[in-house]
Amino acid sequence: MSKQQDDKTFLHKIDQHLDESEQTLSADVVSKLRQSRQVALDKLDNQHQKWRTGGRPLGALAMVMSVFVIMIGLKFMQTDSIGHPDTLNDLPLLTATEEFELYEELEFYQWLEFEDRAG
Amino acid sequence: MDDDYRGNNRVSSSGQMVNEMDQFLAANERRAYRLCLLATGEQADALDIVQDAMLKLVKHYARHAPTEWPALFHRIIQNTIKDWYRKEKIRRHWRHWFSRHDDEGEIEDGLEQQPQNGTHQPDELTGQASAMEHLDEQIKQLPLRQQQVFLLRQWEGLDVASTARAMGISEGSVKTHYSRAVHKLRDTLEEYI
Repeated sequence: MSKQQDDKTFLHKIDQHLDESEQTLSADVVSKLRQSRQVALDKLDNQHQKWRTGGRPLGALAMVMSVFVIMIGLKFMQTDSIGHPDTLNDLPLLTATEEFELYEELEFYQWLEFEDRAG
Repeated sequence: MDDDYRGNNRVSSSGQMVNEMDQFLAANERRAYRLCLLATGEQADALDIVQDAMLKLVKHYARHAPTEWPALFHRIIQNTIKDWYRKEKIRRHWRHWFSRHDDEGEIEDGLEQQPQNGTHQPDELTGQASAMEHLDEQIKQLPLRQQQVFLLRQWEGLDVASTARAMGISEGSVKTHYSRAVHKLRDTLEEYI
């Protein structure tokens, strides 16, 4: 018999032995394994209940938050459209770093120009 | 129906998931116990490791597809055995220290070393009637990594890559450990098998 074949037979016998040993465990061990499995499955069942029931409050919370965000957004849009109809034109003013007095004076010169044209 | 499994687009209800997990664990628990028993040499420790592994699988990976469970279960068992081995080594160290028997022998260091759980010497075993008992003892006598690589490759039928993943070692190490284990077992068991 070749060495390779020899090895194969040898390892096959070891497999057989291990398979047999798995099937001939004592009743006590088998019972304890079953108990362990049951503990794990009970945990899985509880866990699954938590996933399901835990998902509902989270969903409700997400919905409340969405409604809140939408309402706040609408409120801002309303304020924006009434108080500042020309937001794009105000942008340089809002982002400028110059002193505010300069813009007050600018408004004065604009008014003066308007008065001149009208007059 | 709830979307309970990640990946593989599996859909299952709670009951179905529990049933599938039950079937998986029932099909694998004995084998897992034997692997752990050969590693620890103690029934209680082996049962503890299997229970821990089952709980970890359920807690962290139950929502993965059932096709992924075998590899995950192997990995968890190997990690739990490793943890057990480290704790056992520390316990042994303190026992030696407190009993002041340091001169009886050095504490084995590392997972490459032969486990100390096997109480029988090869000579004592020659008197035993069963070659199978002898085989069990010889597998227990293998260093932990060699032993687990051998069992995963030979008995569980995992390929080199899967064994490496399960044990968290390189494929090269798997090949080396497996080859050494086979040689040792052949040397010690040839006349019995």
